[in-house]
Order: sequence, then structure tokens, then C-alpha cells
Amino acid sequence: MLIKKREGSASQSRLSETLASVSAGSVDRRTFLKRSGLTAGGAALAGSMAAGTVRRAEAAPAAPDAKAEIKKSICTHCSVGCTVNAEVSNGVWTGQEPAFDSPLNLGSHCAKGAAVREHAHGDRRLKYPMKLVNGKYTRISWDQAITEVGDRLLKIRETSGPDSVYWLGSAKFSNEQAYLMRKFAALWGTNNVDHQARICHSTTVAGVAQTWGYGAMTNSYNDIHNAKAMFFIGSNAAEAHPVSMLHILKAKEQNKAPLIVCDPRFTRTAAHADEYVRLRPGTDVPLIWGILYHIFENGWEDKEYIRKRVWGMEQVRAEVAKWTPEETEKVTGVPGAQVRRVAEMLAKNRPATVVWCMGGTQHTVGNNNVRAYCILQLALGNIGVSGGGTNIFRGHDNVQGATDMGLDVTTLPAYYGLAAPAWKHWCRVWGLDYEWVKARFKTPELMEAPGIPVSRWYDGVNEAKENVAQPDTIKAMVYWGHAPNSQVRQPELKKAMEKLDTLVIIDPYPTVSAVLHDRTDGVYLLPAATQYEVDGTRTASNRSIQWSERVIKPMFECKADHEIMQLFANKFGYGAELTKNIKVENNVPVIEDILREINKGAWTIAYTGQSPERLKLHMQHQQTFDKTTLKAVGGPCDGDYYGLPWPCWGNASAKHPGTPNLYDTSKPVKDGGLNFRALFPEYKGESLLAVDSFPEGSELPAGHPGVTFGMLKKLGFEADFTPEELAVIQKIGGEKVDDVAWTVDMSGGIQRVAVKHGIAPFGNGKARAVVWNFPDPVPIHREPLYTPRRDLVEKYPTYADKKMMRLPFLYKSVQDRDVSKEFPIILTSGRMVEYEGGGDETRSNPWLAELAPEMYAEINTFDANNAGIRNGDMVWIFGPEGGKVRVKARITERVGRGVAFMPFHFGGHFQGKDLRSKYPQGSDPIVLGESTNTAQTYGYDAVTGMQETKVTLCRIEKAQA
Amino acid sequence: MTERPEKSKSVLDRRAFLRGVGLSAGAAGAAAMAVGSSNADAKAGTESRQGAGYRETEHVRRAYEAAGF
Amino acid sequence: MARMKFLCDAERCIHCSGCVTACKNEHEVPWGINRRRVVTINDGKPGQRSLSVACMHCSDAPCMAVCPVDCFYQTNDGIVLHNKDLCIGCGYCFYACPFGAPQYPSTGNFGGRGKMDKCTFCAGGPEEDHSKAELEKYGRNRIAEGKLPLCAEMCATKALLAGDGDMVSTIYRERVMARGFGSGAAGWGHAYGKKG
Repeated sequence: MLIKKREGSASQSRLSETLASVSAGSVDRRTFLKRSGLTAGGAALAGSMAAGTVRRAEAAPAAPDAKAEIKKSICTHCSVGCTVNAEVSNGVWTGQEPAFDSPLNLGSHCAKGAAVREHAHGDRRLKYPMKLVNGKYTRISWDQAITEVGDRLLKIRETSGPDSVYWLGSAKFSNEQAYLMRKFAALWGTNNVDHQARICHSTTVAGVAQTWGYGAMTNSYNDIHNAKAMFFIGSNAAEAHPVSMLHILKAKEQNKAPLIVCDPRFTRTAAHADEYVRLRPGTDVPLIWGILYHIFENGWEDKEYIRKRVWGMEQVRAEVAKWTPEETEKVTGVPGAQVRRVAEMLAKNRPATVVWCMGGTQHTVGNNNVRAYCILQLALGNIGVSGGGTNIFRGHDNVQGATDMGLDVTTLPAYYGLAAPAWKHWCRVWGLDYEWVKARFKTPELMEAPGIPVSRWYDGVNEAKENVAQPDTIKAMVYWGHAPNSQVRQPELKKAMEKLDTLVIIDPYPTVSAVLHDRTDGVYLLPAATQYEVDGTRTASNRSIQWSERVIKPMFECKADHEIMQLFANKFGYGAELTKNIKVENNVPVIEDILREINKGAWTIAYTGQSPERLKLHMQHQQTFDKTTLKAVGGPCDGDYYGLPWPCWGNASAKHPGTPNLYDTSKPVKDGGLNFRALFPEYKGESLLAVDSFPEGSELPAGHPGVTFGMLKKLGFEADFTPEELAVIQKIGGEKVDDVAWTVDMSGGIQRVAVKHGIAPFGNGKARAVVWNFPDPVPIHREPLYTPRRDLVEKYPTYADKKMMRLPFLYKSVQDRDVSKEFPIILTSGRMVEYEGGGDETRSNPWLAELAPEMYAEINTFDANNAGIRNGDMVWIFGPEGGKVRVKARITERVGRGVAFMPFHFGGHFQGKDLRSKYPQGSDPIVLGESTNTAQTYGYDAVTGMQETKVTLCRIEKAQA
Repeated sequence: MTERPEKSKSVLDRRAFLRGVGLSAGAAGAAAMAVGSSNADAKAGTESRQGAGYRETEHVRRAYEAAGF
Repeated sequence: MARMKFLCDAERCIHCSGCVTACKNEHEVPWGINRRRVVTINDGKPGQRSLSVACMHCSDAPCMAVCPVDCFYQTNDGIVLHNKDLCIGCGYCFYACPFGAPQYPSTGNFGGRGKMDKCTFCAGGPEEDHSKAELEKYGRNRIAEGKLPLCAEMCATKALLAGDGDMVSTIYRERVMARGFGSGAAGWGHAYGKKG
């Protein structure tokens, strides 16, 4: 028989159990629909209905509906940025049609994208505000919610200081919402504001930006069509970014580009690889240096490129020399011959693209890993080249945008940082008095001090007050669009949730935050609208910004996130300041105005030319963009790159087309060309400016630092400025007008004039192979905190314990404890195609839930047989810090010997206990399961505080039935 | 409009086909025919002639174009 | 006359199940019924390949041959449909089908089956096109709307092709020529005979 049940018959009994435990509505929609007694147009006020009742019209019109209109939204899952063509009839989302015109997805969707309509029907959504009263979620009004939550938070602000409230934002926000939230936190008076990027690609953003300028994907999914080889490390694109495979497989087929996949698991991506490299988790740097060893040994590096554009390669060479084939194999487990073969493939198939994801980033040495990948590409001369690049696939649909908008403990919007000049710049943009904003903070020092990263917020609660470098520990947590089960050390997190004064969850779904703790009061659930219920822009991984149109009005009593921000700001007394230059209609700030304010201030990454009008025009004329170059050919957007990928220099009237491939000197800057940023023009007297390398057509054919007004004057370009621009520059600069830089000139004149003369505003420097301001200037190998290879700890030890980001960060003291005997199996985690993130949304979607009804662990056959575990058995997985999970065993060769894997999307079970009854009635996800993070452990990147989820240790035992 | 005759034809063919099935399958088919005619064929003479059957519309052409990508 | 066919290119299929949820979404297919599903062989090992499978709408359809109530019929486009009013849920078609396509909604007491349900090639059923009855029993009728099956239209990697058999083979052939290899059109011989 060709067909068999998807996961074998083992899952059948569980499937029916799951089926039995869910409400009829999700099991048989059609019956439900037929019976639902449809109110006119489905516009009945859900607010007046009982929990579990949903507002809905007939799901699909019988006839192709003449009245149906197509709304163009963007999928709210991964970062590919697939256009969703939503069919809407009488205000009800009735169908999805393929968006063939989108150059990013050409109509394609994965399981999640093809099922997004369900989220907007949302049987299991949060429907109205609720609070926990004596252990039961009880309905309250929005007024009561804002008043009560507001009063509680204001009281904490009064007694413990503003830093004792943690504002955790979301990669699910639009750019406008992310920006507004960052501003909102600033006006509250804290830098304790973060989002998912911290635990997904923070090491990438930091490491890559420090290497050559911007911490983002350099090229695009589409540009992979031009790759001659593809090197994936720690990326399972087939499951995490399925539609990207459209572009990847095209390169594989069309260019015969070898696909090399390095991963501890033989993933669905690996199944399509020409070369699969199985490495031990946590040995990325040795593998890359092992490859580079052969490249240097054979002289395959691009010497001219390195001379012109790279600084510090000699120091790297010295480190690489240690990684002989023998040492590489000893540490990584990859056969020497294979390492050489891969090196040769990369050397002989140029340009190659390098792709990585969380397999590389989520390590204590995450920042080392990403810089090693960058250096590999620099050595091969593959950066700034079409078909090359570091194509870092971001995770969520707007994690790139939310990062750009500074929803982050270390910076204001657009990577300005937290120093006084950055605050002054943004205060000018906001039209607010710097001194007034400063007074919002407890102290001026705290205003400029990075906050506690989200990966550690619970330590900010649990730690002794004297160990936390702020006036008091965290007393209130606002989970605004973030799943708690995607964070390691769940038992600690649970404890913190219980210790808090107030826990606020603002989300379309209750999330695991609603049930993980054993609180009986002080918890509020506020229903937020999804991105399908609001307008806004979101930034795909390739930096293209897409205007996403509202499909339907917010459902039930849900409110748009930006409306909730305005309501809280009003309550806190800074509503007028929050939206001083932004129109507010009915408490809803106007999205276009927020974007215009972003355009007015985000010069560092030139999020300035992307006006609402230009972005809307792109969405309307998607079909005019070439599906490989992303450039519009003819039509009203002629010459623009799709979504005006940043940097889009100057303001909108400068009509810059966006930058499709970063650092590409083959094009003029005005046409999307660029060079490496001159972050540091010199080091210890040595110049770091580019040599003999500059963008095509540059009138300053040399390396140079970031552009200032004075520099342009010296070059004789003063006459190019308009009187209006000069007036603005004069006003900003005062007596030091010559010092006004490209980053703070709000007229856009400096960028416009520089670009006109072919000059990159951010300077023209060399990429830094050595980042002297990081703990390991040249990336080196350090064994994970929990390693089974105790024999390597002495030679490759982790860092010394230290303090940063207001908290102690432990390394050596954790690694010193040898637990490898009791916990002999490496545990790693990753994604499944059906679910995303913490999975609350996707596990509530019956079309997806049915495909993946249970949590599981992949265990190698060898290890399973040794432990007497058979396929389908329930097992306990114990972590070395006391956490344990009860999951189903999936015996497979997908993981190597000594390695186990669990997906990270599950939640709602905790250490064997089913928490379903704790959800607000009718809002429990269809599928619940243990979170892998309950068993996962301590370990944080030494630069960004990224959690180490990709390698720890565990013990696996068969569970008694 | 040019598609209309073809559409009508295919619907007719479908009905003819059903009838054919009824004939060839004897009693069971004939019994089925009665059920079928009570609803499926009730309006066959009018609206059901609309739109049936494959044709290469612009949508279909775009789908092929995307598939060939 | 166009002849509708499905083809799944195993070199492209990544088992993302987009086809499965697209189908669920388009037709509001209830929990437990999978008109389309993805099958992976050699899972986790070299040689792993995935295929999306549904009713192939065979030329000489075995389901039609064995149905005791003759509820199947084939449209002029070669699409194999059935009449749920006639279906007695006996399950013979399931045994006959080489692709395991037929699905049954309920497993009630004594193993009774409900009316059979399967992929319609997004072409509805014997009811009037776009009627409420057609929608409820068979789902939307995209073919009548001038569209193709949504599973293929939304396929993440364009692995699943659907439409006029000539177009489908042309697209596939060009792809195989470009890449120099193909894993064959799985199931084509079985479904459409040697002629294709």
C-alpha cells in the first residue's frame, strides 16, 4: 500500500484521544457552520456571546462571489514574506487564493501559510479581557483592564522604579507597532524592552554588524538563483522556511549548484542535499576552520579581495592553522576527507551562498559561530556578490523589522544604541524635550545602560536584589506577543511568574503564560488583534518591506496592539507625547503616520525612503518585479527593488531604489550598490578603510569614513544642498555644523548628496575578520557548557563567569560541573513545518494540529536499543538542572548516535502534567505537549545573552505506562 | 462567450454520462438515478450549465507560469 | 480535449504539507479526512523522498470498476468524481485504489463507514456548479471558476503540478531537461496508462 498514516499507526490512538478532547467546532467545521445560524454578514458582536461562540459568516460562498474582494496581506509565520491573497466577502475572510504575482513566493505557501485563514476565524482566540480571580479566568471590560493593570504598574513604578516592569514586545508586530512599543518603553522610562530576536538571531545581528556593517541577510531568497554552491549550516529551510526551498532548489537544478547541508540531524533539507555533513552540536567554529584550513592550504582564498576589503585575515589564518583535518575530525566528528571535499566544492563553485539559522546562533559561542561563517565567505570573496552573501534566514515574519525598530534592550530604533547622542536624535524626531525623557528614567545611567535581555528576565525576578544592577528586581512582566515556552529553564521561569506582582499577557491567544504558573490572581489576559486585522508594514528576511493590508476588522473584543499602546500611554499620562506627531483616530494611532515618523529618524539603516505611498505602490504592482533580481521592469515602480530593501537612502523624494544585495560594488550606490561600512576607520593607528575598492561610479574612489556635512563641503558638494536641507543641518549642528553626520541629518540632504556623487553615506571600510571589541576577537572554539566531551574541556574551555546586562552570567562554574556520566546524551531542538514559535497559534489551528498531534523526541536507534526503548514508547527526558519532560519516542537515524532532538513548539504540559483545564474556557490549543525547554538548560551567548538551546545534555528513560 | 457552448456541452455530457452509468449498472444505478434527478439534475437545464469544466483562463495561465518557474 | 492530471515531483517535494492545508482550507475538509497527504519514504536516511498523494483521477479508474452502486463518473476533463447521495460507504473503492485516496468520515459503532470522500480535483460533484449542496458535500468548484486545484497552485516548491496533462508534462519535462535528472512521474503509469 502506497499510503500510510503520516506518523505510523502508533499515533492513531493518540489522535483519537486528541479528537475526543476537542470541541465539535474544530472537528467538523462544516457541520458547525451549517448549524451556526449565521447572523447577517457575520457581524454579530461577539462580545455579547458566551465564550466559545464565534463570530462567523458562511465560511465559503457557494458561488464565486462577485462581491468578494482580494486583500493583500503577508503571511504571519516565517520571514520569507509570502503574500497572502485573502478573499473577503461582507467583512468575512472566505478564502485564500495563490498570490502568483508576489516575486517572493509566486503563489506558494507551506502548511502554515496555506492555513492562515483559520487564525482569523479563531475559535480558540482570546475573545475579551480577562483576569485571574481565585484561580479562575474571569471576564472584565477593557476599561477595567487598562485601569487595573495601569494602576498596578504605576504603583510598581512608584515603589521599585520603572525598570521593575518588563515590556516584552514581539516579532509579530508590524514595524510601526514595534517602533511605537520601543518609544512607549522609552517614555515609561526603561530599557527593559526586548523581543524574540534576542533568542533567535541576536548573535547574528551583533556578530555580522560588527564584521561589516549591517546585521542582516546580505542578499535575498531570490538572489540564491544565482548561487553556484549553497552551504547551509544550522538551517533546516525545508521546515523552517519552506517556500525558500523554491529558490534554493531552482539554483540546485538550474546551476547544478551543489547543496551542502551541515546539521546534527539528517533533516528534510538534508534529504535534498548533495553533501550532508553531520557535525556534533556546538562545533561550528572547528568545522568552518577545518574547511578554511584547506582553502588556505591550497591558496583558494581570494587574495585580491582580501587585500582590498578585509582586515585581520592574517590573525584568522593563525587560528585556522590549528584546525588540521585530524583535530577537526576529533572535535566535530566530521571525516577529514569530507571536510576537504566541501572546501573544494566551495572553492570551485563561486559564488557560494552561506545560509544559517538558529542551529548556529543559539550557543554560548553564537557570536563566534556567525563570525566564522562570515569569515569563510570573506576568504572566498563571496560577500557583495550576486549569488553569494550570507543569507541569514530570519525566523518570524517581522523579526527583521522589529530588530530594526530597536525593540531591544541595547538600542533605540535603527541601531542608534543608547548613548546620549542617540537619545537626543530620537527626541528630536519625536519632538520631545530630551531632559523630559531623561527624567522618565530612574537615573541617567540607567537610561544609557542596556536592559535585562528577555532570555534572562526571570533571573531578573529570581536573583537576589543585590545581584541585579538596577534599583529593584522585576516585579511585573508584560508578555506582549511572545510565547514563554520558547525559553529554556521552564521550572525557573515558572517560579519567576509566581513571584511577580503582576503578569500581563497581551496576545491573540492565551499562550502558555496563562497556565504555566500556579498563581491565583494578578494575571491579566488582553486580547490582541493579529496582523490580518490591522494595516502595517513588515520586513522580510531580505530587508524588503511589504505593506500588509488589513483583511478583516479585529475580531471579538480584540484590539490592535498600537491601540493598546495608546490606551496604556494615556493611562500612564504620556499619551500625548507618545503620538505627538502621529494622528490618532479613536485611540488608534494612524499607521501611515507612524511609518512617516520612522522615515524621519531611521537614517543609520536608511529606513527613510520607504514612504507608505511607495510601499503601497509596490504591493499593487507586484507583477512588474523580476523574480530573480527583484527589480521592477517598467510600470510605475520602474527601477525600484521590491519592497525597497534597506538601506533606501535619503527620503522618499530622493527615489532611491533600495539595496538588493549589500556591499555590492559592481553597482553605483544610487542604483543599490554599496561597500562595507566604515564602522571603525582605524585601530591602533592602522587604517581600516577600503583599499582600491569602491562602488561603481563613486566620485570618491577610495576608502573613507562615514559622511559628514563638513566632509561633503570639503569635497566641494555644498552647492548641491537645498536651502531647506541646509536650514535643518544648521539647526541640528548649531556651532558644530560640520560635524553633522549622515545618521542625524533629518533633512536627508547629506545622504542625498553623498549618494548623488556615488558615495556610500556610511563610509567605505574593510570588513573586520577580527572584532577586537568582542570576547573572542578571532572566533575560537569553546566547548558547550554541557558537553559530553570532557576530554576537550581543558583545551577548549568556556568563558570565565562575568557580569553584563545587569546580571551575573555564568560560564566556567557551570561547565566545571561534570554531569556527562548521568546525562550522556546530547539534546538539541528545532522546528517542525506545521508549527511556529511557541506554537500557541498554530497548535490552535485544526488544519495544522491534525498533522502534528503530539510532542515527541527523536532518539537514535542505537541509543534507544541500549535503553530498552521502542518506537512509540513514552519516555522521560531528564535535564541536568532538574527539569524533565514526558514525551513519545521516535526512533530514527535522523539523529546521530548520542544525540536526541525535540521540537520546541509544544507547551501546555509540564513535567508530565496536563495543564489543559487551566486555560480560559474555549481558548485551549487543540494540541498540547511538553516544552523541550523544560529540560533545557543554562547557557547564554557571551555578547548578546542568546540562550543555548542547540546543545545541552540529557538522560532518557522509558516511562512507566 | 465563446466558451458557452463548450460548457453546456460538458454539462450535458456529464448528465449523459450519469445516465449511462445508470443504464450499465442496472438496478442499483437506476435507483441512484432517481435520487440524482431529485436534486442534482433539478436545475440542470438552467444555472448548472454555467462554468463547468476546465478552460485555460488567465488564472490558469498564471498558475502554469508559476509552476514552470 | 484537455485531460486533467496531477504530478508530484519527488525531487522538489519537501513534505511541507502546504498542499494538505490548502485543501483543508479551500474545502473546509473536516478533521480526520485527508483528501491529500504527504508520504515520506526512508525517513531520516539517505534516499529520503517525499510525495504528495491524493486521488490521481485515473484514466481507467479501479474505483469506478468496483463500486457496487456505480456512484463514480468521469468528467470530460478526465476528473473522477462521485455522487455522495449514491455512495453507501462500503469501502470497496478504498481497496481498489492504488493510491489509498478514498476517505471515510466517521468510524461509528460496528465499524460503519460514512459516505466516501476524496479529492475532487477541486471540481465539486454532481450537484449544480457552485450550489450550496455542492459546496457542502464536495467543497468548492475551482475548475468551474476557471482555476486549478489549490494544492498545486499553492505548492511551496512547485513540486505538485496539476492541470491539463499536456501542460503538466511539458512543465515537468522542461524541468528534468534543465536539471538533467528526474525521479520519474510517480504513479503516472498506474494512473494514466502508458499513453500518459
